[in-house]
Amino acid sequence: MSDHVQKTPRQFLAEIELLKDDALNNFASGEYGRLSFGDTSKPPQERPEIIALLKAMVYPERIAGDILARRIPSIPDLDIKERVAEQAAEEFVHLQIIREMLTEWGEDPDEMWHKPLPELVEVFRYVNQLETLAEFFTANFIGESLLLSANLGVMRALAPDVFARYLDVSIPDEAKHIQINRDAIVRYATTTQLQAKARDVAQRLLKSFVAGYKAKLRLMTELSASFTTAAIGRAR
Amino acid sequence: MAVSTKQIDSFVNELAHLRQNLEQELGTSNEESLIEKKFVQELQAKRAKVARDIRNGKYGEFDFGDVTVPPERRLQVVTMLKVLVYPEIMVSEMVASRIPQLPDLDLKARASQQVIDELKHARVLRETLKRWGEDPDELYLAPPAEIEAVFDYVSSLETPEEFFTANFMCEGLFLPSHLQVMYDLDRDAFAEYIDATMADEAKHVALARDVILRYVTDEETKERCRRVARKVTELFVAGFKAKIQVMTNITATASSTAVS
Repeated sequence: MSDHVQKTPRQFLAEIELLKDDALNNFASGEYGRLSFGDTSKPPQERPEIIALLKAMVYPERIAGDILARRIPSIPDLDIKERVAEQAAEEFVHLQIIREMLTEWGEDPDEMWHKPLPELVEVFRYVNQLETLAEFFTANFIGESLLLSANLGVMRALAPDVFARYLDVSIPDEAKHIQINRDAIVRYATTTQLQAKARDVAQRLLKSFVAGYKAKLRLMTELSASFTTAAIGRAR
Repeated sequence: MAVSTKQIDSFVNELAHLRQNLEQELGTSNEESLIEKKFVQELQAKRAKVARDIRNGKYGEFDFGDVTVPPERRLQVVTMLKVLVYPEIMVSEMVASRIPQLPDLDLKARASQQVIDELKHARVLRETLKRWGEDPDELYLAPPAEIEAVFDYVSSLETPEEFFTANFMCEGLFLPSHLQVMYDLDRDAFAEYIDATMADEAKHVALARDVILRYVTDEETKERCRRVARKVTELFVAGFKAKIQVMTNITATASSTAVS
């Protein structure tokens, strides 16, 4: 079926789901690199990869809450409004958990709120300026779906104990958020024109998300390397 | 048993004293916070005076008709619920749009909870009206101009300090002038809405107070917030009178239609 053919909102959602599933296959095959959390014999606070990832996640959790809150007045349907309001509140809860973990480990929880990865800033700058609800919720759908499977799912698989406090709350919430986005896409991506715009957004967001993911891996590698160098220096 | 305003006031005072004692014991009460507390007390005093005037009937009184008639058959009750839909939705939207302006995470989280609460209140109102066979959006889509004016003014405020000062006054006035009166006059008719809102409103007033305590720290900001408090109180009173007028007009129209 051509992209320019009129689709029902459900058909359009199915198309976006396929796009997302393709991207997830690429993540699963390691095409964009793989998350790894260092020496499992060490406590989490001594593993720079873990600290780096959590610090990098402070910015997305915080800015997502703000962006969702700002969007609430433009949502005409009260049920969607209410669910988005709940999502915003939940993002702040996730943020609070990450900050508490970092603080307990003696780290500055706001270091990367003040100096976030530019690739992550770009993702949220882009989402924040999207004009229509069809575009906004499509972007969120892609972002939240990839976050759940490519990040949270991997964290759960590789280091369940380390991230349990955060994942026990965020994984069920993210699944709920993905469903809100599905319902909102069906509600608002109702015309060929809106679907065309939302399709472009999905493609663009996939690319930005991959860039953000690679930036997180880069940060984890850099921090791990500098940690190793410092340890060698101390040993000498 | 209905709780009187006097009982609520003394309970709130008791809690304030307990808090003060606890702060002194913990050493968290300092001179600076006392200065901000005085400002909050100043606003509270202004608000209390207007609340007293409203409760004494200075601006008119709500009348919910013959309480022996089921609420869904009383235009006053139906109109009251209809007229409240717009404020609940507008407050939720306005608080939501202020969240990015709040720098502190605890306040952001509490404000996002307020958005959820307000939308829940709107949902309760709309569901009740729908169940009664009424159009829940009639006065949401065409609210009284005076109520719209309150929200136009509040949305035009520049800073979160000013915005939450306005909220502090309005949420604080809403409780004694509306919820308490609905409870006192016909609690069964409004039970669902009152149950959903009463506890939340106290939380929302507390959030607004805490924003003021945290951010209204210099004289210039206080002066701006004083102006906001004065203006929004005037607008609130005008909105209150408009609600009474709408209810009176609708009842009068219905009576004359019935007579003819």
